[in-house]
Amino acid sequence: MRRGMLWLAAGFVGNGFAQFLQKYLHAAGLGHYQASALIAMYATGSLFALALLAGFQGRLRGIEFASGLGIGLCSYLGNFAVLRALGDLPAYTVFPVVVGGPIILVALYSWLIMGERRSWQARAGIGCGLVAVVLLTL
Amino acid sequence: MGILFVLFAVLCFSALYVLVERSQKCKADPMGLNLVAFAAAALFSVVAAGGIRSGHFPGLLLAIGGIIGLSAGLGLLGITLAVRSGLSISIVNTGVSLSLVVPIVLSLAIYGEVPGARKAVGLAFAAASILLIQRERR
Repeated sequence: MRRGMLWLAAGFVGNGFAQFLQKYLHAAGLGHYQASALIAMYATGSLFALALLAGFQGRLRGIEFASGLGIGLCSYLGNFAVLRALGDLPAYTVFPVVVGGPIILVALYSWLIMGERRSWQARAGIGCGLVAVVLLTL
Repeated sequence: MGILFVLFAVLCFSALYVLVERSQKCKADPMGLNLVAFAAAALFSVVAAGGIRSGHFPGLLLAIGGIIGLSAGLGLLGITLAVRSGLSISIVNTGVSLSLVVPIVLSLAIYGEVPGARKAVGLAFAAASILLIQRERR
């Protein structure tokens, strides 16, 4: 569980730093190159992943292809939908729902479909996280 | 129309976490999964952009986009390995969503952007959420 928390911290820092750099992209006057930025981001991420796969002798089988294709598609379509939504709606409407919505849906999935029973700390933590996301994105 | 894109993005990002969870139940290799996910997303973004033109990739964009790709690569790997270590996806999703805090803290440290009262309360909720999630199962 301790190792899981360390990996969660890596996910937290990696995603947080990526969001900060996206903001820096706008500050550097490159905000209108969004399509190119997505290509550069995913291409570099692919090279990084290839280096890790080779270095740690990972595997590429049917399950990695099927799941990875689905994850890549969800990531791309989600980002595309956010960009399209921002064309019609203000950011203070889009981001609280887009970041907070999956917290509720995934918690419901874990509870109703996977039958997980979380401790009161975890339930309170998820609740506080949802409130934090809404306050930080409004 | 904008709200439909928002709801679609919520579904995509929720499905992404469910796919990560299902893939780790099936023992998919995290390195291979990461590579296919990023390569697929790169392919989708190139197709959506209608190909690659050299004029659309200034040097600074490539540099920043590249670092975003490395950060996002670390982020997805951290998410996958946290789920593989036994953490619930509802906990991982909440923890990673709180990475919204990172750009705010870095903007404060680098640009001196002081968060307003609402964001300050949001940061307090984020800290409480992280503490509560960490205390689970202790």
